[in-house]
Amino acid sequence: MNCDQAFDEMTRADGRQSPELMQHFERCPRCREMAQVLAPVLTGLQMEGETLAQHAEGVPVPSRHETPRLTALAPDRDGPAPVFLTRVHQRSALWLKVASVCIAGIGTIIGAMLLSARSAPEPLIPSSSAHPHYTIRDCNWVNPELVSSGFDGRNVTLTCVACHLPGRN
Amino acid sequence: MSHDERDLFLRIQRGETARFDELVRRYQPKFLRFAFSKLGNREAAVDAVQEAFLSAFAARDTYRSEYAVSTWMWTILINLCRRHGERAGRRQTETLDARHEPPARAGDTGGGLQKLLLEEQSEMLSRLMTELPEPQSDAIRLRFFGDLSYEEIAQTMQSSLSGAKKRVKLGLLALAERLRQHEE
Repeated sequence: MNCDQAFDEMTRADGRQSPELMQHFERCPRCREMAQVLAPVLTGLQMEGETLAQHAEGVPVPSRHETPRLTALAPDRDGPAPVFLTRVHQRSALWLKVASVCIAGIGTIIGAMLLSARSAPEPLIPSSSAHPHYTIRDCNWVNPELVSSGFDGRNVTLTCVACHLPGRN
Repeated sequence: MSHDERDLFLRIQRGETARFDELVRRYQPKFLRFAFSKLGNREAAVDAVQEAFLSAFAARDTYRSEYAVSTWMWTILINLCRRHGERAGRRQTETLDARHEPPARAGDTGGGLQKLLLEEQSEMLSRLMTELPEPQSDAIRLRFFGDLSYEEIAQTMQSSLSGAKKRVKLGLLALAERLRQHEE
């Protein structure tokens, strides 16, 4: 047993009293000293392990004959696989979330502005040469009988353009 | 053990999902010991362990057989414990205190002074452990409460074998020093 293996043995549960380790201590003062320094900690950790094991004993473990709690719960959780991200990825994921929320917000504002611009009532349709006094009431969508009352196709199109295309003159 | 677990997991992946409970039975005690120690709170530890199993089950198709099942499972638990700890705002000095006294073992008849002293020392140790750098305290927990070999610790913590040993050694020496200072 070399010093590296001795350290493994020293820190293994039930390994501290192994005959091989004792033999190693007899011819290695450094490891013997290390064991002495670490003895209170190793004993404390052993005690702590036993205490923690007692805590764990109180938590039910599904037995072979019980309805398994986990498989009962699993279908609800059986969605897309969770991704265990590294810290850097988590940070970039956060930035992505912030950016997507900002873009969604800006999109909503622009959409709302466009909708309000479209739905704002126009006081007058620009006059055409054929019908200089056309108003919004004369839109052939609102007032379809206009089409059948001798309104030519070009002017029908013009009323549509006038009503529904933003940025017209 | 490792091959056996790998085969078990491949069977789970092929649809024998009820076999996952076998893994739960194997890992739950170790997972709970680790999580109790790391989170210092029984409810949080039970939640983290439960969540780890559910996450592993939900992500079972992402497991690749070239890795050890134990490394995969422990990585999930450590990440979840870290997240639980951050969420709860880790309380540095909290230990498994009187509110969560472990159930008395059959045959316990009060112990003695020596037992009380050892218990006090172990409580002190768990408090001092929260003061260590996280890689050192996690490596110690994996070794002593998770019963992991140094190879498994290295794989789980994504370090070299010597790095894993160094973390445990430095952590133990720091604990020994702090314990000595406290006793003086």
